[in-house]
Amino acid sequence: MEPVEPLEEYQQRLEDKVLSPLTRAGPRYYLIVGLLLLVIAWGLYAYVTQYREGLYVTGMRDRILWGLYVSLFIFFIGISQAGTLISAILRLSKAQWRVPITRMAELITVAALLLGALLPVIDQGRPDRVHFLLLYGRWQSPIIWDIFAISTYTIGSLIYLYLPLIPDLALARDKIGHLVSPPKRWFFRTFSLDWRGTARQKRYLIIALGIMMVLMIPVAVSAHTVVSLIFATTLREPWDNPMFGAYFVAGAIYSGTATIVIVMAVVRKAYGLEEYITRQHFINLGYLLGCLVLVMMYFNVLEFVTNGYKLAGEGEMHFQQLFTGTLAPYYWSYALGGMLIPGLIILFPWTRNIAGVITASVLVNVGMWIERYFIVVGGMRVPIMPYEPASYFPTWVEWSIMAAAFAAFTLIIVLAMRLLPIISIWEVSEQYGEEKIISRREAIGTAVSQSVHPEYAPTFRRAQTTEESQS
Amino acid sequence: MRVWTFWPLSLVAILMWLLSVSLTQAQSPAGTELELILPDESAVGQETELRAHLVNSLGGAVVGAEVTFLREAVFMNTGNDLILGTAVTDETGVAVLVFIPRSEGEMLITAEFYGDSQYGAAFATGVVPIATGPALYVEEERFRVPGINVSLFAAVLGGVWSLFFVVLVLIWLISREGEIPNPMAGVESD
Repeated sequence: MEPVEPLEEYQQRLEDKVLSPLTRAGPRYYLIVGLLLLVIAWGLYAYVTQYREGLYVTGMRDRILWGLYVSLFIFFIGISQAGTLISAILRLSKAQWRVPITRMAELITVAALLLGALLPVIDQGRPDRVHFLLLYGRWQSPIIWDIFAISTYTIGSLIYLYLPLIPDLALARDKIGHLVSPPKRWFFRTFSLDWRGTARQKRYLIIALGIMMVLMIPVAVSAHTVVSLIFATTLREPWDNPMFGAYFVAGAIYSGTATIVIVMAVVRKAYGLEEYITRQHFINLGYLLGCLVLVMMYFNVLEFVTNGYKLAGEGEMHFQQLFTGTLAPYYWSYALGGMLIPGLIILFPWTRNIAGVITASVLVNVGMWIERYFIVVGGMRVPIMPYEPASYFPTWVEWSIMAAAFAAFTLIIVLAMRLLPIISIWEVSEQYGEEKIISRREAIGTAVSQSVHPEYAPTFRRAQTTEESQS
Repeated sequence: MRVWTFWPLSLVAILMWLLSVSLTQAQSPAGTELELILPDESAVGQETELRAHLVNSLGGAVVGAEVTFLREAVFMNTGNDLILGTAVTDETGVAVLVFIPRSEGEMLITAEFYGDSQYGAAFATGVVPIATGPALYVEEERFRVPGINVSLFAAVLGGVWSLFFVVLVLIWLISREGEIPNPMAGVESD
């Protein structure tokens, strides 16, 4: 039998590993932050240009009213499904392997939603009128539904990110509070809510987490479905598809999973977390990606077999532009590079490894970005009146703002990693304790008491024991 | 006829011809007058009849002339005349245009005859007070499923936010629990 490390030692090592990045930052960190800020500053300059000159400086001038910004909006809302999938669904299904990566997934969700929600405002020619949507918007409009769905999803995601953070923030308060700057110390103290790990606190936390993990799944699914309804309820042939909601949700989970793999790989390398984020995590997420490839292919085939078979209305023009026309390079890049090749990488055992899964994930994300682009632009390009199809290509302003959006997304995650423990220490410790119990049970080969031995108890066991002895 | 009598007569004839040609060339189109007949008031969404009466300088009806009706419009701080439509005068010299106002307020209307080879241009202006009317867009209820409406949407949304509120209460309870002093604090270290 493999010798098992005592929980206390394991926990100490885990705390050192995860909390140490919160106390110090090397020059590489500041360099990355500086570069990201530079890109964001350039994007701000581009936006100021757009604000001053109007949308004339973008490519959205000739009947194609939605372009890069709206594509990017769908893309970001899509990758925000990462947190819901990994954290809520896997938490609900008690998939233990998800524990070290839940925090990253939840963080991706929040960062993606914050950026995603900003993009429709950037897309507006008159952002000073954004409040008109609430003042004069109609309840019957999918755009209003979208505002409520996304804001609800954002608030829910913030709560869902915060809840499992409470014990870890308390740990940071107690362990490294004296090593960090006063604002950070204040942050740890305030947001750890005087957590002492009492039985009651733990019970409240478990109830709150239970509510949120169940609630967040329909909220996330509805948020992306409502995004799809903005298109599907518009009288345009390429978007006239009742499957759009399911297709969007599947695509969102697909790109969300790929984003988790990429962030996970970067964090693992940057913080040396190979012990906690293992090869198995990549392989498991790879399997998930593989399943989603099949789902995506299924939706694609279904769409083309139904709408493509009938070729009613302007459908013929749409299929022509996708398969052999102007948008063919985009479509085939997505179909081959974003679905087929990642699927094959996952399928073959000799490519199904960490590098393979990362490569597949990058391809998936590029493919999904392209897919969002041709859904939006392709749909707008098909004329709804007898005129020639318009052309669209983003200008430097749009590319710059897109680069700034990605930089801001990365910056949020990078800054959060300096403020929050990137791995849920208390959950990983609990999991380790439970695994030890199982291994001991197996070693003894006999039934053991259901009560947890103090040695293998969760992180906050000590406080709980104190309280119990007191009562 | 003697030659000396022929030349003066010829000269007079030439002069007369020149005079008649110059008079013909210089003749301007006859003057016209345009009168705009507007309703005392109208309302948004209500059919409004604009009438323009075109007469010549002698008061006779000008028939078959095209009259253009315009309204003053301001969009994005830029004002200009917006063409509402054109109408042709009938045998009484009246051109009629019916239009539906889409905004309330004092609407400045101009009727303009641009003139032709026979008649000179003329225009007239007037104001029609447009009162508030019913909503221009009336939703046609084609199919309604009982219970699927805004209230349902609000109820679902309210349900989700209520659960958020419950979670916030639980967070508050966690915080309150932490504030309770722990009498055993320090015991362990002792």
